[in-house]
Amino acid sequence: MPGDIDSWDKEEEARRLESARGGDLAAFNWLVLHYQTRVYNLCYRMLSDPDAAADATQDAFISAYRAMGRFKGEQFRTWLMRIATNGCLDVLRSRKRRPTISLDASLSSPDGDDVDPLPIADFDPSIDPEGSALRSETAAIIQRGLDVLPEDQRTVLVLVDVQGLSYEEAAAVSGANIGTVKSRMNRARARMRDYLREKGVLPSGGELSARSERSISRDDR
Amino acid sequence: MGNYPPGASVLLVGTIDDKRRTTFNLELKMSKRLDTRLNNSGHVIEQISAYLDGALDDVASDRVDAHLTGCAQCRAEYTEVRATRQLLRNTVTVPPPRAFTLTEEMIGRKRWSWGRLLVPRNVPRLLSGSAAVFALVAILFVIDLSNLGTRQHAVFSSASAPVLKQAASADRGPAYDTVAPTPGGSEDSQASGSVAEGTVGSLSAVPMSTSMAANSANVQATTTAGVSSGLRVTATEAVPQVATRVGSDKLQSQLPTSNSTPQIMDAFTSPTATGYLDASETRGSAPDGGRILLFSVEGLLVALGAVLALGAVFAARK
Repeated sequence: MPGDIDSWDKEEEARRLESARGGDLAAFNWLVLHYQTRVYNLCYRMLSDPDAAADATQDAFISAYRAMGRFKGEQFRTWLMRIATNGCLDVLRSRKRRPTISLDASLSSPDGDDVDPLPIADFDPSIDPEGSALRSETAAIIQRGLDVLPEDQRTVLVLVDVQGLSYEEAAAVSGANIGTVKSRMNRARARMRDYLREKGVLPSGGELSARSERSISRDDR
Repeated sequence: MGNYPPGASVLLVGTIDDKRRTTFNLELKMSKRLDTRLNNSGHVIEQISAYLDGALDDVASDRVDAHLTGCAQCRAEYTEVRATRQLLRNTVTVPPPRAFTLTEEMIGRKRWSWGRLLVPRNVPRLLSGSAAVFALVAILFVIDLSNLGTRQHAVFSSASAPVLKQAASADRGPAYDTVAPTPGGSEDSQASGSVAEGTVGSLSAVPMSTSMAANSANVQATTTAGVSSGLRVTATEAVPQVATRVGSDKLQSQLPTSNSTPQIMDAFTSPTATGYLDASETRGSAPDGGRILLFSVEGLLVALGAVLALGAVFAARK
């Protein structure tokens, strides 16, 4: 997620938070409007379905409003994302109990059929039309790759790589410690890498020399 | 799909269908690849992600640096993991399909729950508890209203039949007259309409306790206050029935001097009926005295509960 998504005045946010904590619904809705893109995208990446993501987003904000009295002593963003993440995990677990055929059959299949019934509108075709089809297919493959990951690995990968959280923030959101986040990240990335390589989406590496890689790794990390 | 920890050996035995076997094999391959890399001491595969994300301290980071210089396998791993991360970072931000702002309806705002949401923990419990008590007492209150009416009708109607009849014919008119002499259910609905109209006004205005005073006019009001029109009609309309059939036992208990039906009938029609009225009235008022007390207490509790509930609402408004 690009960094500018959170670029609003933090002072203003603090004022709204205070009002919202006192039950001011309008103040809370200001927060909703500023955080809904982030929350929606989190839910979308977790659940792979726009409708489920919309429901989960709405539920997250309703739960957050009701729990405002208990919010204190941490970043609102982390607290809100924790609520949203837990809601998504609940949905995933109930999906496991009552699997819907369309979701499981197409997404979990390792056979690599590219028939994707989900309307993943990840791209704007007006920008670079030639590349957009490729991007859209890549995006669909990435989403499927996320979907076949185990829950806890999917969670950290979405939080850290898609949402741009630090390991500390991801730990706060997922309720795990940093060591757990590190090992989950390691496994999640490796699994995703394997999946993407199988699908032929991964650019082949190894062209760079060791020295240039090292300098890149320091600067560009 | 499975949650296999790296290094999982073959766990499934027995019958697996082909599709699941394929799935499982793929998973196994992936985790075994992970195995090899993770278990090889000296290699830094397991640290690549943390290294990439700057989550290693300087000492560990330098070690990985040094290793990568000389290890093509780890370098390849590094490159691929970095590419994976980049693809994930590049996923497009999907614009939300609509605004997710909350409405009052969504948060389920009801009158009693404001206090729960906004007021400190200990306060709403007290106030919402009193609201529950208030509701309970209000229910009892309403039940007693109707009970008081029906109880009285058994007491008063039998004894005051002549009084009612006379007062009714004076005040009411033809509708009432048709009711009195003819027993039977068909008259109920017809009479209830006209009878109810006349007495609804007095119903709301007359509190039970004062109407208990024995007074021919009040007697009539008493039997109607708090009782539905249907019940009232039953009371007045059933008078002759009571006298002739069902009520003979009741009448005997109320009127100590009457023992036989013909006597009772005479008692009804004689001018001394009021004497019986008094007897039954005092008899009736003794058990009802307790009811008056209960009734007033309930009224007080209802008022108290209303005050507390209003207090909860105003506290929440703040």
